[in-house]
Amino acid sequence: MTRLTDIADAAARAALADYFVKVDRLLAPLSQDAAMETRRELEAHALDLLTEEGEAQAALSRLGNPDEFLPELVAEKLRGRAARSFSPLHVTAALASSARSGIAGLILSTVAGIGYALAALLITMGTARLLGQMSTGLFRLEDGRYFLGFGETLGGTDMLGLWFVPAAYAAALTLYFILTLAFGRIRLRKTAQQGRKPMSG
Amino acid sequence: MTNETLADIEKRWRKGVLPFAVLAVLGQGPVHGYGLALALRNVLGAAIPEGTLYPLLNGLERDRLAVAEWAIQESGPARKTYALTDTGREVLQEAIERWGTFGRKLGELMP
Repeated sequence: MTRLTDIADAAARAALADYFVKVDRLLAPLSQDAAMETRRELEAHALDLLTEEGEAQAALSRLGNPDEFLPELVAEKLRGRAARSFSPLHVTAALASSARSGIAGLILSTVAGIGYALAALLITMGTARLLGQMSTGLFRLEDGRYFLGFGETLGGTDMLGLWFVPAAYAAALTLYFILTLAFGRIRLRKTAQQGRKPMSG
Repeated sequence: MTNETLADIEKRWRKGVLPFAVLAVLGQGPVHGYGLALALRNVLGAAIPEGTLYPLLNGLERDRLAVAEWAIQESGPARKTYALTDTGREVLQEAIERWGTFGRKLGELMP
């Protein structure tokens, strides 16, 4: 057998088709090529297991519930893609996918999301200053403390003047690149710690 | 100690050695996902769903410890096979040495 459609038994064919509908849904955030490659790999494994077990449910139970192992795989692939491309769209997809992949992924996405929000705030502040909002910038108060003003000012001396604009942009970009590299490299190992769980559906 | 407790202890150590066991199987030569699962069954029993090997293999590929390529079969579907890189072999060798040390130290604790 080389394809799911080669399976002679109609019930087994239907069971595997149902399983791979779920697989396709979970792989949907990946690029078409990456999703197809992972699906082909799992299909070959499922066909081998079907030949070995002779019964579809037993074969699929041995392979495991895709809800248990694919979210982690997809999230890791998306984080890797984001770290290679630095595209904000890819970063957003990776954040969303990691958040759905489990508690560790949710925590990772939340922490990274706060970092990205900070980068976005710095860009906004730089742009506000560029557009003439003089109360936005780095100020030194009379008591010697420094203050990042945005929209409102506590007074004090404007330390950077218009240099605040490139400084804010540079800080935002540096933060974005470092965060994206770190986000793409981080490893979350969840599935290796899981035991067998019964298949649902 | 009940059989249930013993089973739990055994299950935990089987899962703990999974990444090392995967490297060890890949160290014997290129293998696809199903072949890897077959090789691991004697070691791991049925404790691990075989699909969970794929995130692990993806991690090895990403860390450049393994490379993957599609192999066309005479019969059956094309298969993605994984092989250790030079770095992967170095890591495996180091892991084997550390495992030996760990095993000896653990053995010293045994009555």
